[in-house]
Amino acid sequence: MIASVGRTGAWPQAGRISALVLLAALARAAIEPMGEGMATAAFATVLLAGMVLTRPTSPLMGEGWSGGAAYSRWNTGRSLLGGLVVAALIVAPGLPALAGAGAGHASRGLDGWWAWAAVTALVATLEEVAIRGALQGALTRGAGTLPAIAAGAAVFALIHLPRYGLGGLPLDFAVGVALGGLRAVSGRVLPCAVAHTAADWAAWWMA
Amino acid sequence: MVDGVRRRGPLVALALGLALAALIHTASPSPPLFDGLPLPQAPYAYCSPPSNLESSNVRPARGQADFPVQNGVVAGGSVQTDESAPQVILFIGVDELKVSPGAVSARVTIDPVCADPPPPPGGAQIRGNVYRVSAVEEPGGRPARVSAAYHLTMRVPPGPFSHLQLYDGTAWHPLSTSLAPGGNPYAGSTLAQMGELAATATSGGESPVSVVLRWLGSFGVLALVVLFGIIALVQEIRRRRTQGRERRTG
Repeated sequence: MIASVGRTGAWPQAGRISALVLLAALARAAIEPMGEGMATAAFATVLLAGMVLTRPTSPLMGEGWSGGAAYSRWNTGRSLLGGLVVAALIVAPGLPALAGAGAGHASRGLDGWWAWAAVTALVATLEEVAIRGALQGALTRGAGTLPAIAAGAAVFALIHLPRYGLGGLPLDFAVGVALGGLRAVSGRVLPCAVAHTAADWAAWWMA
Repeated sequence: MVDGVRRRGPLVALALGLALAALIHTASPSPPLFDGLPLPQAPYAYCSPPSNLESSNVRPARGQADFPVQNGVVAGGSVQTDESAPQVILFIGVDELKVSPGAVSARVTIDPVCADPPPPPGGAQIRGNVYRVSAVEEPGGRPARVSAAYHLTMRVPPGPFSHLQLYDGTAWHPLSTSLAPGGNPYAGSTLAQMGELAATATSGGESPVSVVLRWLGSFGVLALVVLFGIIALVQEIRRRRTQGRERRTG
């Protein structure tokens, strides 16, 4: 499938994927005044629609949400472990400063954790499928690995702009570069989805 | 050489991204939430909780801060109630409070009025607690005067809400109210008077449209999670069937 998409079709494909992801982020920002639940639902719906179109036969995204698992040397166990290690490395540097600031993170119990965690995992996974799977996959074929990682990180940072503002841009870009590197190292989306989800989950205790 | 760079590029990107993230995290300790729903806040602390929340309700907290007086000018600052998700936050600018000569500080206090709150405004219901906001000068305890508008942010409990109102001891006065973006349960207003404040809603309850929107906001996302799981399962089954067929024919 990767070969069949070809180098020449990679750029339009990357453009369509970027447009889809940015459209999802804009939909979320536009609906946000109606509530976070509605906004997240809109974001997930647009990305989910994109994911349905990422079947391996889809002309829109070609390689699809399997994220190149068939071509990777990383099996599922290694992907899970790798994702968790990267998540720990993303989260760990912030721990001492947060503890020093006396954040009330220990006070949050597990009430509501499962629903929150499920939605967070869903959104994180959808983003990884779209950005690290489809977008980075297409750009790697069109422009090479490093430009693809940088472009994926830029889109990743941009879609979080409405939510976290300019202040969140550097951190989101840096994490995007790390996740893009993980995607390229592993050849799979799964470790990126695990890392992203686990880092998000850590906020339950850290925020 | 080029091949070496190409091979090591992803590893370098991974390490560089992690190093940059660590650097930013150390400089600004923000929690690494990139997505999902905002973190759930602690439940609203009621003076008089609804019957289904009585067992879990925590009494609302008060807030207090002393603003020093320097060269006759009261310093500005903020005061908030002492909860993990503060229910009232005041922002008072420099010189917005006036005190008598000789005062060394102004004490601003936010108290939940749990005993004998004022009766609700006509045609409206009070949503959540009534809070008394006051400022006195120290020493002496005489009331400090508000010379310019200060800003108040108040948490609103789940359910209907229309605007904030101020009770001046004789009557309620509607305040021009703004809502926090992102569906956050906070309302804000700028006011030039201390007094008792409350979130209010029109009597008669929530409109059917807002009930539906609230329901969609709560359960629509969960429905998506279920849908996502079903789609992922179907995709996986189809992938395995295709692989099986390819193995048999190949």
